[in-house]
Amino acid sequence: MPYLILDQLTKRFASWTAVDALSLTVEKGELISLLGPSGCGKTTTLQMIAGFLDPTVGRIVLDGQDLLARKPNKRGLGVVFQSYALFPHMTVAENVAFGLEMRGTNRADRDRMVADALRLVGLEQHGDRHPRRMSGGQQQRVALARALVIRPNLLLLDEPLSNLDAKMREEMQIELRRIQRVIGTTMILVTHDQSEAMALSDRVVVMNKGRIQQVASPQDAYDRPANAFVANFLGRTNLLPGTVYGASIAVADTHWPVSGEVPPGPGALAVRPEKIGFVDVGGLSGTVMARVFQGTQWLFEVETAAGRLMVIRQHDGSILPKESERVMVGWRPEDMAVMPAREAA
Amino acid sequence: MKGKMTVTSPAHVASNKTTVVGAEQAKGGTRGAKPSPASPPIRPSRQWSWIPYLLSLPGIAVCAAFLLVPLAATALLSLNSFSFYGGIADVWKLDNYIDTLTDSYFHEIFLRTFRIAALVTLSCAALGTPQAYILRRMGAPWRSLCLLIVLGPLLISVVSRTLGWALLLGPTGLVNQGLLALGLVSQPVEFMYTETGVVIALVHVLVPFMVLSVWASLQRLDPQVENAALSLGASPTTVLRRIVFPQIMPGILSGSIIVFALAASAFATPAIIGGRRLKVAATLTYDEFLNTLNWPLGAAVAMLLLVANIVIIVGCNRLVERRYKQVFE
Ligand SMILES: Nc1ncnc2c1ncn2[C@@H]1O[C@H](COP(=O)(O)OP(=O)(O)O)[C@@H](O)[C@H]1O
Ligand SMILES: [Mg+2]
Repeated sequence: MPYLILDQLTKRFASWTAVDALSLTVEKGELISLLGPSGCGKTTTLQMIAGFLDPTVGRIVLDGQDLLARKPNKRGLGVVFQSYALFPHMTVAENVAFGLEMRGTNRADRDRMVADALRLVGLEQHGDRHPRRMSGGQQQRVALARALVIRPNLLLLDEPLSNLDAKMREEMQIELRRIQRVIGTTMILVTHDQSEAMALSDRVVVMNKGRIQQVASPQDAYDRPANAFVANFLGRTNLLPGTVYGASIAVADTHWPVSGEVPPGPGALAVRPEKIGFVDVGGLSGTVMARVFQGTQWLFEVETAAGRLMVIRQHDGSILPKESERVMVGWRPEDMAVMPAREAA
Repeated sequence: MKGKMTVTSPAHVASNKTTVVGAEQAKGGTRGAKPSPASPPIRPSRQWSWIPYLLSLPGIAVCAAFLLVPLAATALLSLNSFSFYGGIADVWKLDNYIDTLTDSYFHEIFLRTFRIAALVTLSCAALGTPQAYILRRMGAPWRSLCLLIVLGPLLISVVSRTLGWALLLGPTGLVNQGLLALGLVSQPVEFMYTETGVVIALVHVLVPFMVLSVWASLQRLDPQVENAALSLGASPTTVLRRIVFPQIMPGILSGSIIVFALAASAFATPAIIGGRRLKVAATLTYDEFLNTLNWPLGAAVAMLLLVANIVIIVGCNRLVERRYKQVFE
């Protein structure tokens, strides 16, 4: 039995459906990301789990118990907010101690646990500072310590790193992953940054317009996107229209084997630019329209009968075609994803 | 060090005729008059300049003409002496102040003034703070409607509002009729010409200022902070007490200062509800000026009211600010 079950979770604001029949299961100890563009309903989903919003329809079950029957202050979840939401009138240590105080933990245990939590996030020296005097990264760690110290059975993080600069964000990603390994808390991370989701999660849940597009491991979602939205959201991709015949798809004058179950008829083939190579036989023929040097790699634009393709090749000394040269491009069947045409729109 | 600074700040160079000036001029040509294209643009000078003072002159002039001059005139007037037959005499003595500060008649009036002001301030804080909080949590159409109802009284003159209260609070007024009908009292309660009546009417007049002030500080509150406390296991009342209240303290304080100052110097409401018997500092000043014609004594009372107001407000402000130091930053 999964640890957390979201069942047909739906939230409507007047006529606007922010989250549409979202179903998802999360295993204990897993770090799962809700990934999607701004406004796709990630925060709304998280707020329903935390209890700050009531779902219009749906069920949330945590560890076999109905979560919706419990008030937000009885759910025992840790929440890290995008704005950190620290208590500005309390010191860092008081902030972290607040949850323990509410649980009636005695003074000595409380002090020890607060010190442990601050050490975990590397702020043991800052207990008596006030949050307003701290940098964004430090405030973020306080928020994390405050949520972790109550030993939540589920930790919800709403874009916790989005207010940090790039370098700090990378550091905090590593930190977050380390903490997750150390304490093994089940975490749901909300983010609109695909590289962050890829770097941190066991599984990603790609969302768009309130609906789940794909649930998969980061590599699977990247290599075999379920549809055009996922393919484009997780980096650059080439989408080639074709026709599916049972176990193969025809693109221009080439045929590619299809592994999954795709209904016959109009379809599309998605393949990442860096998975495409120049081959001698058995590929799509075309003409190099442009080639751009990008330091570690070359970017090619190849015009073929199936459309214009982007190709990325490493700058490793191998001989590469020049502009306006006739070439043939190909890829391994396992590096492509095939989808029905309606998913490719 | 000094030389280095001078080189980077051309404006400083001009005012500081050291040897560096020569070096700069040798390099950049006519540097003082016109910067060479290669030099950094001249930053606004740190020198003392007339311009800011000139620009604020109209404001200073208005303030001086309509506030400082009358205030100084009142202060001077309060040092004059008055006799019933001789009128105002141009002497400079502290007699009026000594009289006021030693006479128990005046003690009583000042004590009443500040008792009323303190009660009004506490009541306004007790009523206005929850009112502002509830208003903030209201939905879209109701919120603006209720805000209008709360702030509505500000649109009506104090005199008409107070006369309305006089009608309501009289022995046969609506309030007493209601209390009698409900059986809460056996005979009409005296509101007119009592401190209770004055406090009730003043609270109604002044509570909008408290609501506005607390409202402003609630606007700055991150709503997620309350959710954060909830998620940590705090009950809704604990959230209010431990999280919301300390953060809106500055708003309550500034509201209290406004309400206290206005209540202590209120004239129309105590004059109408309190009548001639129940005097406060403002009505006392009025009587001294217009009935007794003892202008110097009236001026002394006015000055004392001003000073006492400042002392009380600044004192309380310090106290609360120290208590809630972190929130005020
Ligand atoms: N209280 C609300 N009332 C009306 N619409 C809302 C409310 N909260 C969120 N929405 C809408 O729901 C959608 C999803 O919001 P949100 O969950 O915050 O998106 P995300 O966190 O993915 O950026 C947005 O289009 C937003 O405008
Ligand atoms: Mg969001």
